[in-house]
Amino acid sequence: MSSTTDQSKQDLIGQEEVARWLVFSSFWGFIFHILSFLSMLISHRRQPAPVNAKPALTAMALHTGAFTLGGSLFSAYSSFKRGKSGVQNVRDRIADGTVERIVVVRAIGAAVGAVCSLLLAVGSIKVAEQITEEKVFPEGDSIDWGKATVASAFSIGTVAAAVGQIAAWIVKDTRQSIKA
Amino acid sequence: MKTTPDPQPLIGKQDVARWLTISGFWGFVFYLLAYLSMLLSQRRQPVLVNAKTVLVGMILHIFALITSGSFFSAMTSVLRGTSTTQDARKQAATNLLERTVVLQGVSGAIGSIIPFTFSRRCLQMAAKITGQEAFPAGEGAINWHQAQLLMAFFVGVVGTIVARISAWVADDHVKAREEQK
Repeated sequence: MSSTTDQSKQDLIGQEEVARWLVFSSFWGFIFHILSFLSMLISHRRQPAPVNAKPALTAMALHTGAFTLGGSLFSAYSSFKRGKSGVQNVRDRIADGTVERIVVVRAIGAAVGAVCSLLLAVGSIKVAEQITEEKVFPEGDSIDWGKATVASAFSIGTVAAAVGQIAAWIVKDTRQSIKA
Repeated sequence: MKTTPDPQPLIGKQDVARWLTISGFWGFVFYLLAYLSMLLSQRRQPVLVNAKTVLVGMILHIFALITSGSFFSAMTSVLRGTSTTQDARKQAATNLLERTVVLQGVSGAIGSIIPFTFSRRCLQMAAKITGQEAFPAGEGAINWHQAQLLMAFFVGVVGTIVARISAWVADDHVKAREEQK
């Protein structure tokens, strides 16, 4: 009985699963942080805006680390809840054409979710400032948060749309090459 | 009377859409990474930044990369005699994506000198347009060797990851087809 459970757990979370979680979540954590950070930087009311590199780099490492951990845990939880591995889930979505159909929906979802990314970036910056004892943005009070949120949503939405569209083309190319 | 299907054009709508999307995406990502590398390689802290010049530089860089990327793709299509979409499908059939993941990352890191120089030129041009330096401390305050190394590292990592994800997407499709059979 227990060996069956172990086997099903192994099927749900394999080596490739973990590799994918780490690659996907670290990539998106890094991209989300850069876009959120730059959105804050360009939204200073007073120009030129000052920024300290050391705490900025520390915040980037913290954000990427937190996103990798959070993203991996979320993926593991989703796999258990669905009773299906993440890899299998992606294959099913490719087979039924979902990947190609939801490019725009995914981009809009990412743009809305950019608020979470901005909040995580702000949290990482605060922790980095405590670690390095230096302010990332010494004139942080001059940030126009409305503008920063819009810039973050726009840039994240655009990147997600481009990546989603490129992935859909890869699926289409592979389908055509199999037919040929 | 039998009609033969029209041959596929060398440059179709989808080819152009792909050039614009892919070169626009990389133009944006390369500029962000180059700018970030310069920002993190300043000798004096805190670094002062003019947002307007940075944004104008970004638009110039994306536009330059879309133009040159599309021109290069069109030239390649004409020289090879196949459309870039057909070429991508042939590559998908040979499993090339899976085999060249590391190679793409390494060549991205080495080749990053080109978008880095491009980004630097775009920032200089943007400064002439706006009348404000992107970094008011001047170019002398940047440790250029460190900035180029950082850029190579960032592009190498991002290039490897994007190649890895693309290979997984292609592989997933093949496996999904096999499971359907």
